[in-house]
Amino acid sequence: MEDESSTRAGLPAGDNAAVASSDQPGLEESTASKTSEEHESSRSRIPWGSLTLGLVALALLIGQDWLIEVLAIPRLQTWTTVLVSIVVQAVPFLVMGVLLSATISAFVPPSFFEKALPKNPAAAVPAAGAAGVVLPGCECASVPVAGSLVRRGVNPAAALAFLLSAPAINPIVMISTAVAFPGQPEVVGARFVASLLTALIVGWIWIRIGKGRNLLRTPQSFAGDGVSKWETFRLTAAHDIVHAGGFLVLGSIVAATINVLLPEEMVEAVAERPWLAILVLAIFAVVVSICSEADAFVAASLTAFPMTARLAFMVVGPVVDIKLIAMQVGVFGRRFAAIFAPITFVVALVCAVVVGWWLL
Amino acid sequence: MKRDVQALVLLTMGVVIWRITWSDLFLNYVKEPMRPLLLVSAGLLVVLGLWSLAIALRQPAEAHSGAGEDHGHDHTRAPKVAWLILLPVAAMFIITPPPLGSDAAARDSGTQPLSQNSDGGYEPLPETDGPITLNLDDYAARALFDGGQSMTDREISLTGFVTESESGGWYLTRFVSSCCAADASAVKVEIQDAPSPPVEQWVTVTGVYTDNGSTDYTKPPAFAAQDVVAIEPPRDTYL
Repeated sequence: MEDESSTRAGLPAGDNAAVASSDQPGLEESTASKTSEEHESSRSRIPWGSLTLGLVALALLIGQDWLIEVLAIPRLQTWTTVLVSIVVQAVPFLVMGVLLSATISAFVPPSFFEKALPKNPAAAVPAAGAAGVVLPGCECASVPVAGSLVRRGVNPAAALAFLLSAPAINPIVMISTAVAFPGQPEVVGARFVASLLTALIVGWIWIRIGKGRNLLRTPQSFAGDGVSKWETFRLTAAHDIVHAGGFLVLGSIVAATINVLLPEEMVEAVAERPWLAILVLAIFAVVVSICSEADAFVAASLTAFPMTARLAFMVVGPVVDIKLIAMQVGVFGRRFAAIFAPITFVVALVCAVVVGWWLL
Repeated sequence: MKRDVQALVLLTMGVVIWRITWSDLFLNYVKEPMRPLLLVSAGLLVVLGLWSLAIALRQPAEAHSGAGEDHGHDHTRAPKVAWLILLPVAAMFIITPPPLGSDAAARDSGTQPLSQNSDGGYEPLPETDGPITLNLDDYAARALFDGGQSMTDREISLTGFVTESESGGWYLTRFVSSCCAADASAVKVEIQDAPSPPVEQWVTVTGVYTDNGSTDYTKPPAFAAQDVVAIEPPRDTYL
């Protein structure tokens, strides 16, 4: 694959990098591969990437039967099924979230956010956290949207509070939790309270530690002079889906590998010890990366575990897991994720334990 | 990742997901209610892919030498990771991973994915001519948590696939999933009084409830078989 970094790599990622996508009528007749102009020698005229893809696809198609036979190892099939199922389950939410974030990036003026959120960061955090109620969808959606908010100038701490609360307190998750634990509305309430608390506390912590330090990379913006809003929308959407999607698959690969290799007996032997049970389920939630709409059902099926441990599973899962971490690295940078994930994990765990002890 | 390749990745994602959703193959991985969501998002991916492809082909690369989509990135990792999208896409397209089967069931340990009916008590089964068809998890829950009381003196018909049991007998097995195959757990019922069909074979077993002689909820309930019939795998293999 060609090296894509250009001599302009010094461009700060966060600035509005104008994209010169205006029409150039004189070049419309010639296709990308045939034109003779050579502005940068690193740009090939032949679409090597596409050609390679096409050839590989062709080879795979021709060798399909042989491949199916060779790959028919039951363990490998299970792994692939689990991987594909996580990805397929996530794709609609990813697409939905990205389209929403691209809409925010392209069509909502920055002034809207300045007016909508309180100036004071300490007040913006709870406002943004409570706003998480409006975004149905799993955590795959919240990362691109939060990235968009940061692009639009929203205070990072508030955007992060939103990122944490949206997957956990939106109506779909609340309903699924109610369905998973029939006749136990206190579970739904506990989940809501613990998750919102987590979002707010992490948001406020971030205000503190983020002061004067640039801890997250502002996601690249495609807006700029001379670029139509639809073009910005399209570029943002395509960019976000491909990048977040890649990390989604990466996280899913790790989750599927552990899913297929980890014996369930180990998990159950732990259930008898409450503190260990809570910690193990929290870690399990991180590793297994299940969409927040569904983790209530998984929690409900873990009948061997105490209720507080299962609450920890439901509170930790939507805010920190392998899939999310991978996506956050892609959108906000590695340094961000290295700081953010542990803080979130600890806060979520503590909130779940406290709320669980109080309400359950 | 070059602009045209990005567009192709999006397009391929959309097309492959559309294909497996249109054809019921998606039921190997996720549940039926996901169908409209998958169709819509696949459609959107195709539209986005075609749109981006059209623009990428019309405008040669140097038109974007000002600042293309990868300029300003201070990392080259993300574009490379994005190639991973093609892994599940290729898997779906080329080998179509099968629904979970005996391998996954064998590694699934004791606890059945059943939650005790918190209302207490199970509804009596409706009257039928001939055997009543129950879902395997329904039967297992009634057997384990209700002592089979709602099923006495009834002929019952159960469907699942065959897996081996440790004691040399066989289980009728089915996967229960709440979200998708990733969180699926196996429900197993030990079949007595019938020789084992080939492993992985889907069968319908007709018979009656019988006590498995244990109060341990993790031990599979038992079923006394009167008749075993081989069948084609159902459209949706998960419960």
